Formats: sequence, C-alpha cells, structure tokens
Amino acid sequence: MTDTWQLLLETPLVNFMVLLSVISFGSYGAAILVFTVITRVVTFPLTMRTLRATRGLQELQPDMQAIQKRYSDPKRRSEEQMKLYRRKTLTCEGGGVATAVLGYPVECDWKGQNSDKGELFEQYAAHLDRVHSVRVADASPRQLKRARKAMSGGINPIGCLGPQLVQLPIFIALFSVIRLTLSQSPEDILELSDRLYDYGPVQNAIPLDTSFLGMNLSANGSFILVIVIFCSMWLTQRISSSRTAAQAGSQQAQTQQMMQWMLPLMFGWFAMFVPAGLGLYWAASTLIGLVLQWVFVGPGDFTWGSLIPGFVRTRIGLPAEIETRTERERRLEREQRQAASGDPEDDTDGSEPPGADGAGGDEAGGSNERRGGKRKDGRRRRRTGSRQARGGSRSRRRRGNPRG
Amino acid sequence: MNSPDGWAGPVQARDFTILQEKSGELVAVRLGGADNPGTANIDERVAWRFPGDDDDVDLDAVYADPILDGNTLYVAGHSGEVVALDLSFEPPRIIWVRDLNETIIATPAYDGQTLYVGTEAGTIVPITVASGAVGQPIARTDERIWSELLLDGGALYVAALDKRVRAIRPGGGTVWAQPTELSGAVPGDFAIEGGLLVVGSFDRRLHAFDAETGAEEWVFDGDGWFWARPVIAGDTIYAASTRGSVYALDADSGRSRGGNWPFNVLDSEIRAAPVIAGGVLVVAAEEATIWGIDPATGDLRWSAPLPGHRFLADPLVLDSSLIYATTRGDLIEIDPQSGRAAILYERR
Repeated sequence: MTDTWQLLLETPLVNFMVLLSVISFGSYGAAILVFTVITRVVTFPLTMRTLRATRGLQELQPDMQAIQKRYSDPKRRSEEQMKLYRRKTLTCEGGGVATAVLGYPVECDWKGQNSDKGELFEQYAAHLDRVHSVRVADASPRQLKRARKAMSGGINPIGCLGPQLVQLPIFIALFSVIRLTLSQSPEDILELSDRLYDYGPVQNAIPLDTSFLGMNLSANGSFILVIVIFCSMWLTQRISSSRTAAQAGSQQAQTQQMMQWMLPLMFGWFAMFVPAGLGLYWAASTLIGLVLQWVFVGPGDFTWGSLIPGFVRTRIGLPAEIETRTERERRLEREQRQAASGDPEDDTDGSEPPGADGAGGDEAGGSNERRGGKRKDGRRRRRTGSRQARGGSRSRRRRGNPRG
Repeated sequence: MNSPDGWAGPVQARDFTILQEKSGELVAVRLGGADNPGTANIDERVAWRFPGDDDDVDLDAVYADPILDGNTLYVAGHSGEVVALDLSFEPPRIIWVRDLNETIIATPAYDGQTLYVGTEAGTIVPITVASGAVGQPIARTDERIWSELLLDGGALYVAALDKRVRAIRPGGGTVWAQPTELSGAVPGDFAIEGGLLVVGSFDRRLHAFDAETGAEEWVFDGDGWFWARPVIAGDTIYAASTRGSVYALDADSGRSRGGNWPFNVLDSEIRAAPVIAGGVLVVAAEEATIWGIDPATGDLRWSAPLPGHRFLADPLVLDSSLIYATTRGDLIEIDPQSGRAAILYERR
C-alpha cells in the first residue's frame, strides 16, 4: 500500500515540485505558490460546486427560517422543507443541495411530465430554452444530454463532500512531499535521491533553495504565515457565516461563532509546528479560496465596517450596531415601496414564504409583516422581493400558477 | 523532517575503537586482540561514553569523522560545538570546547596545528588546537559545506553545495585563480592523488581536475549522484553512485574500464566510501549488504548480507580487516579476503 502510494502520488509529486522549482528560477517558495495556483485551477470545478452549494444553502436560509416560524407541527414542517428542497434543487444549478440536505441522491425523470416531477421538467425545459433555444421535443439527444448534465451536476451521491474527498490525498501527499523536498539533513537528502526520476534538471536541482521572502521554508513556525493563515481563515469563516443568517443566540449562530474562531486558531496553531513551506501552501490556498468565494458567491452580509469593534465605532462617531448587507437592502426596498405607495406602514420586505402553496398551514404565530404572504388587509402583496422570489413568480405564472 | 543522526566513521585509538553509538554520543569500545583480549560481556567492553552526565557538551549528531592526533581527539558536532578530548584519561577529559554557532557536517582539515572547520553557513573557520582559539573565517562559500576539507601540498581544497570547488591557501590567498564551476552541488568527500582531484556531484558526474590549476581533466557521466568518496588506486579510480553502481575509470581519460564494469547489482544507495583492502574492492550498500569486488575485473568475489543494518559511515581500515559502524551504533568487522562478517559490538 505504502509503495503504491509513493509510486502513484508521492514520487510524481516530489519530481513535479522539484521541476517547478527549476522553472521558478530555483525558488522553491515560488514553486509552492505556482503549485497552489495549479491545484486551485485543477480543483476549480469542484470548488465551484461547493461554492454553488453554499450559495444554494444561503438562498434557502430565509425560506427555511420562514418555514420554521410558520409551521409548529414537526411533520408538516418537515414536509414543507422537503417540498422546498425539491423545488429549489434545480435552481441551485450544480449545487448538490438536494443530496446534501436530503441525504440521498435525487433522480430526475427529465422526460416525465407526471406528478411531482412536473416542476423539474419545467426547469429542464427552461434550461433548454435558455441555453440551446430549443423546446424539449425538438432537442437533439446531445442537447438533452448536455442539459441533463448541466442541471444535475451537483446531484450525486457524494454531493458537497466531493471536492474535499478529492483534495484530501493531495494534501496528505503534499505534506510528505514538502517534508521530503525541504529536507535539510544529509540523511533526508539521501532518501530523496531514491525518489528523483532519472532526469537531469530534476537531479541537478538538489539541494533546493529553502529561503523565500526572508523565511526559511524548512524551519517550523513562521510567525508571518501563522498570522496570514489565521486572518484569512477567520475572514473566510466570517463571510461564510454571514450568509447563513443564523438567528442571534440560536445554536447555529453559536456554532458558527465557535467555528469562526476555532478553525483559524487550530490551523494557525498547526502552522506553528510544520515547515513554513507547508504553511506557505496553506496561506496561499486559503487566500485564493477567499478570493474565489468573494468573486463567485459574494460577501453575503459581510461588510468591512463590521470588523471594527463596537466600542471603537462609538468613539469614532459611527453607529455601534452594524447594519448587514441584507438588512440594508431590505431597508432600501422598504423605503422605496413606502415612497412609491405613499403608505408609511407598507413595510413588507417582499420575501416569499417558502412552500407557500396557498394552504395556509398552521402558522406558528407571529405576524405576516416581515414574512410576506398576505398583507394585513388580506390583499396579496406586491412582489418586490429578491431575484429568487421573482424567478419563482415567473415560473408559477408560466405554468398557469398551479397554486391558484 | 527527520532529526539528524550523523554518520561519523569509527576511529581507532590505542586499544579501543571510538564510534558514534547514537546521535551525538560517542562510545569507546575495546575490541580485543592478542594483547588485549575483549570480554564476552559487552558492557565490560565499553571503556567510556562521551559526553558524560557532567560534561557540558551537546554534539547533537556527528557527521564529521573525528580526528585523532596522539592522545587528542577532535570532534566536530552537528550542533556547531568542536571539542578537543584528552584520551589519556578514562573517561576522556575535555581540553576545550568551542561553539561555532553554525551546523557542522564536513570533516575538518587538520595540519597538526590548526583545524579548518567548514560549516553549513559556508564559512571555513580556523581553530588553533593548542589554545582552542577560534580565528576569523578564512574563506566563505555561497552554500553549505558538506565535503571534507582537504589539505594537500599547502593548498586547502573546498567543495560546497554552491556547485563550486575552490583551492585556497590556509594562510590567505588562492591557489586557483577562480573557483571551478560544476553543474551540480558537491555533497561528499573527494579524493586527491598524484595531482588529480576527483570530485563527485549531484549532477551525476564525476569530475577530475588538475589539483594545481583547477583545469578540468575529464568528466564521467554516471547513473546517480556521486556522494561516496572515490578511491584512487594507481591508474584506476573507483567511484560508487547513489543508484548502486560501482565504476572503475581510467584515471587519465575518465573512461570506464572493460570487463564487468560497472558493477551494479546492489540496488541500494552507496554513501560509505569504497575501499581497497586485501586486494579486494569492498563496497557497503546502505541497505544491509557489503560486497567484495575484484578490482581488476569487476567480478563479484563475495557478498555479506547483514539484515537490519544500514551503512552510511566510511569504514575504518585496519591491517587485516575493515570495521564498519552502522547507523544503529553497532560495529561490524569484515574480512576483505573472505567476506566473513563478525559483529564486534552491538548497541543495547
């Protein structure tokens, strides 16, 4: 097993890293950075699936919270949540949300127009129309296949775990590769001689230059890298947790709060006891992940101003409480609606209640003011909510509004 | 990353052999003989261990072969500490200890008055042995020095991991106008004989230079790194690679000898220097086997499998036998004629 691991993964990676070092003008630090970028590029499709899943879950959060508030009966709540998941799965294209949440792979009968698959079929037809400009009946087998692939990308048994599972062996191998290639003792370098391919540039590159930006990559505990790893992971966690909009004081919020500190502390502490070369990889990888998350998923409710502690904000004349991005958007929408209607009491936020099929359900108390549905006066409220809510509206209109 | 273990070769001093028993710890073992028969009890064979509990010395590991001059033993530790020991006492007394604050791998050069110590910082530091006075570095390389510094004909030859070989005057000045550039770093010890300097390198080549001018005489391409010190025997040079090949080269041209050369059945790295003893070329592969090869033909004379032992240290050549120190801290005697192996000392 060990021999196979070395033969198939570790040894090729050792030679690849040494070769990268040669290409990077003899700088092993630059080679590690190049390798990090390559790894990120290779795993980009998987990363995107994770990010889309994150975004899908993020989009489900308001509806999930609304369901929890609206239905007190656990069975009914569960049914509504299942409905929500089924309906939203395909809107989170390639997100793997259904599998992640339901816990089993979702099979989509794309051609089936019967029963509960009708909605999926409609999504499928919409995709064909949007991407290929054809109707389902006119689509070629290839177009059908591509559409099926595109829309079911995330619906697989391993769901969101895929990227992590695929990257895990790379991380483990990289750990030993960096240990081997950054080795300083003569015994380690002698061991390395057995791993290098019979290729001149690779053989001649030894010993590698272990200094990079003032750091000794083979030494443990680079303080700068520990700081970078801690800060970037903390920020990643902060942005991630800002998306899920957990209620303050809830168990989820407490877990998020704990994770926001625990993970960066754990990895920062770990970085103290591994060679700086590995720390450099972590730091670069985390920073790239942060950028990808920001670009492809967005910052969620995170604002830079939220990094300033409340007491500092008060001192410099800023409000102590931070208004999140969502809160700000909702406030602005509310103000626009109020301005448009001239009704200062029209403060609905436009969010569509999940699974709102007109059944009403056993509402678990609370007013409709912020959750939408019907206004106090019984009229159906105007649909000025999020893009998702608007999309849902169009979808319902197209199929003749089955909810009546 | 593994902690350094060291691979210092054993030294014969009076009636005992000194070896590194474990990282940074030396042991003096009485091996016995006609005048001083050893005892069956291994504990009684141990004359002393150094450093002892009261010695304020930390060698960390010892790569450099200890240098013996009369009753004085000079030991350079990986920690950067250089120690002079008086062996006329048991246990030995420390004459002086000097901490160079730089890691030491290379075996120092010694001219009877001064030790020239090459460090991992690339410096060559002189230490006057009489007083232990540490002088200013006499030269500086751009990389670590792992190769033994070699004094010959008033010149000090220095090879480093900066892929250069230099010849300098210990008192100041250079012998060669310029350092000689190689395409690979020089990790191991080199050999000099009859004005020919033979250097192995990570570039998988064996380089031969004119010791006086530094002009390259020839280059031989091997199949792996040349880390073990080559042997110059008359007009033939024997060199071993980390791929387990043993070459016999013509000293004038650098061409491989015919016959069964290169000898390559070892399938293991070779770091310990090959030696010629009793008319046999003896090569210790890292992984558990010592080989006896006919130096004329390259034919295998014998092999001595020694399971569980690893050989990285250069052997000690005695009158009729070779003594190898293993990485585990054992001593193994080899009869070069027959290949008969005997474990002289086994670390507990």
